[in-house]
Amino acid sequence: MKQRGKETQKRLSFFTRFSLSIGIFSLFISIGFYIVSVNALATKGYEMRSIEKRIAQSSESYKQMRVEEAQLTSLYRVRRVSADLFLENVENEEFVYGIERFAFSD
Amino acid sequence: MFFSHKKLVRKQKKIHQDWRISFLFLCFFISFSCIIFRLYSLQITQGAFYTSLAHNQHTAQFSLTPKRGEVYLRNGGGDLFPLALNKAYPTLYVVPREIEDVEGTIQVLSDELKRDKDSLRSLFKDKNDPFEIVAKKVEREIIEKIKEKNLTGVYSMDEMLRYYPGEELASQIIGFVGNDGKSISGQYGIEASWNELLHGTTGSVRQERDAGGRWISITDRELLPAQDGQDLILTVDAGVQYEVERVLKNTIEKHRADSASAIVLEVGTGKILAMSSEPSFNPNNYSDVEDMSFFLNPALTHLYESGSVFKPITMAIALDAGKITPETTYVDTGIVREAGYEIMNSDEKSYGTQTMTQVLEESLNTGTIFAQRQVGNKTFKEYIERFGFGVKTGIELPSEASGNIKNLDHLGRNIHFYTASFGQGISMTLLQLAMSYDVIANGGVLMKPSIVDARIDSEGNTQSFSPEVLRRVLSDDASSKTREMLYNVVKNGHGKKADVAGYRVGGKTGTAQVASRDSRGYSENESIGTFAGLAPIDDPKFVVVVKVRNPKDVIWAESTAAPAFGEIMKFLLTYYKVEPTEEIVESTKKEDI
Repeated sequence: MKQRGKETQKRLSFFTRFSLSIGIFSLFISIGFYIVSVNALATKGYEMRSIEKRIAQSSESYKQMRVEEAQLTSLYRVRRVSADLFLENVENEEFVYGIERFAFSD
Repeated sequence: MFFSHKKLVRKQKKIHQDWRISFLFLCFFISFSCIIFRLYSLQITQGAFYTSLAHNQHTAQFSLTPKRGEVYLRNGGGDLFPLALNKAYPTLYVVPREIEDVEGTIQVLSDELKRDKDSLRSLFKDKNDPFEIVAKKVEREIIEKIKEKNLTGVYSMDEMLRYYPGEELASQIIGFVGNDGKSISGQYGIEASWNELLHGTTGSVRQERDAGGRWISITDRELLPAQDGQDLILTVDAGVQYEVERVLKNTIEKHRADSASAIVLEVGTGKILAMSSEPSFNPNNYSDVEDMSFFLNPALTHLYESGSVFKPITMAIALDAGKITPETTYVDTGIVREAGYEIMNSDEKSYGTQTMTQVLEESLNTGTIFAQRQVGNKTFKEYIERFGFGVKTGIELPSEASGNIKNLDHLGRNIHFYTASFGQGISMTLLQLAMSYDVIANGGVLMKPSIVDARIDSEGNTQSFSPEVLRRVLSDDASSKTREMLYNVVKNGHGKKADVAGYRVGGKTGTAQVASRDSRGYSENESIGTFAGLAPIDDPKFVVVVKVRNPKDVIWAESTAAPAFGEIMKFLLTYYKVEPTEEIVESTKKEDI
């Protein structure tokens, strides 16, 4: 009877020991996972701020480029620049109708 | 005895001690009462005042300026050209109390900004001054050069101001943004008439701040976000507008005219593809303009008696009333007498038997009087009103004039109706004339002119404006017959120089006298030449009207306004790839005319 008791005790102890081990192992894994994820999230805030800053800068650059594009495509400016480059103005153009493609030969 | 003496002394001592303690208590009581009273006064009686004072110290409130909406023109296909934008302009400012070397700073600023030192020195008068603006709209390269000098107390900041990249393009349509003494708002043009929509709604933010002036983020905040202004897309095409402005500038230069105006309409929709008056101005430098009349849009504001260009309107009325046909004849004696006046043809000749078509070809005053007589004064006046003369068109631009047809109020005075039949004695704007020709072009319907095609809200949602029909004026048949008569004017009459090879073009010249400013009657030295027309005749796409004011070398519109019309119409038909309607024959080219 004492022997049976000792065996039973041994069996219970193993099961309990196993469960405890799993539990403690899981706890350590969870803690580790939590620490890693919190660390990762903490830096995200700084990354987000940095990206937001870059977005704001890009937005400003885009606005500036839009203004520059509008300036460059202004017909009055084009005319002024063409005069400075001594280009001839086209005054009385005649259009050729009915020809889609044509080839030049030497 | 001894005991009673001791008792007496103890009693006296006790009385003396009680008195001092009482006095002390009284003093404490009075002091305490004063404090209570003061507390009551500060916290209850004047509580509201001090709460408010503290609130103002702790709370900061700022306005949030909305972004002003931008304005675009169409540009060929689906592209948009920005006519009015918001641009960050650097503003240079100084903080005099931080400047160490005043003379050195003045020298650098004077060299870089090309400004007089004395004018700069006045900015540094007050040593404790915290802020003085040195210059606005400074070039960024100059700002960088100044920054390189590492001057203390010199700073720059960006200020969002209005910028017009097209320079003079459509300047009288767009207007400009300026300070009217009360606030920054649109002055003239679209900037003025659509100011509320473009401006948006100002917001505000109210939050507590600490003693250092910093926001306290954990306290309550009242935020009313600013609503940005809406963007506008105009009906005007940038390419067409530029071409019209170029032609007008050349016309003024060639004929040494005082001014010129032109309008291009898309037939049947009322959409204005171009509206220009020269001379004009650059809205980026509006403060440099000395003559403020340049800011006005003469195509809308200038009233004038159009002259013979009005004759097709009279013919259209008579055709629609069923009183004439294009082949109806009359005998031209060269003169009509009424109420002691004599009305002759412009060349003072008589032409004998003429058809109504020939009346327009030869621009005979007597012929249009004949047509008007057939219609009758009452009916004629009703038609004039139906065409929209004498009232504003309702276009979404400011300062439009309504025109004057008051001479037609007296139905018994024939002379006024006779002169009105050929465009004298009644006044109108160029836009009203253009819209009346659009009636002839589109089959008889009066449209409301429009210059704004669509608006885009701050969320990017686009709302287009649909063309608006005002009323039917003529039948389709009457308008079609009138168009054919106009074609004959260009083919056989005074409008040959308006012709465009390969297309059936119709139109009419008008050389009008100008009312004298100093006396009754008309000035002998001034004239206004107009050409109004449309093309192609069978399926009109565009109406163009051109007005040239006071040319010096030639008087007649067929030499000033008609060629300008022809140039503009040729450009339009090519730009929009309209198929030719007739074969190009050598003899139809302008240089052979």
